[in-house]
Amino acid sequence: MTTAAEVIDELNRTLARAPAWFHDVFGSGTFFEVVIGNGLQVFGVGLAGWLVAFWLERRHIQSMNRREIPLNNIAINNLKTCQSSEPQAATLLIGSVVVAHDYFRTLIIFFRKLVGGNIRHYERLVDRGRREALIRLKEEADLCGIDRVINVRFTATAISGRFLHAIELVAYGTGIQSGQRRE
Amino acid sequence: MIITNIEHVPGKTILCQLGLVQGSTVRGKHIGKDIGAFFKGLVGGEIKGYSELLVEGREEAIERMKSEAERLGADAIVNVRMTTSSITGGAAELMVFGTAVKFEL
Repeated sequence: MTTAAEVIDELNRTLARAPAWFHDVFGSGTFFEVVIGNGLQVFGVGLAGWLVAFWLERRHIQSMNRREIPLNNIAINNLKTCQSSEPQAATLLIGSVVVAHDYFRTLIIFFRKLVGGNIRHYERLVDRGRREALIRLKEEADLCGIDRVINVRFTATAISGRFLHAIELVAYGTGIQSGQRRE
Repeated sequence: MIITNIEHVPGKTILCQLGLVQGSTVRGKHIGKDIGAFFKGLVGGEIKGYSELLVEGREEAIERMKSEAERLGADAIVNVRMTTSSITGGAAELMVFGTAVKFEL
């Protein structure tokens, strides 16, 4: 039967035996000093990333506001039939984006999920991503000279990378070229 | 080859259905992109490496679906649906499926 003090002693002894490069990278001292010292650094980097994420989010929303204006003349609906009298050509259009939270917000969400309820962080991320996907769909339509997209569908999938978990948002629909494009 | 995700092709009359066609790919990025994604994760937002990966994968899946439809002698693929699923860490399966049809002359 080992006590907690014995375990800590053993950890301290292991740390003392660690090679020199380990102490160069992570610093030296007792086990707890090293853990807390490095933990605070990681936390600090995460916190800085969180603050930068706020700025990036605002910039992204501004850029979407700007890009949406010239695309407003593209009509979008999710009906299966096109009302246009003389349709000329139809093509499949896809817009997709992969978005993820920063690690600090992932930590906040972890604690938020203990309580349950609406997770506003995710709502905002998914909203932003879906808007971006729709803008990409419209941009593709604009490139092909299409002014009407019908039967638009959205899908969202969780993508797990090796290190981080992201969400893929896709918007796809059928672009109809009606030939009488409003400029 | 005309591809739509509605049940018909506007302006054309469908003569016959040739059956379900599908295409799928499983794609993973090399470790460098994953490390890049790890650092992008510090600030969140769009993960460009994964966006590209999935766009390329979807194009490949559509190509495979098209070649299957061409083998059947189809003129178009209608009612196309797409799914993405995460198979394991760092890889995703992209699947595209639809119905191959032939037009009236």
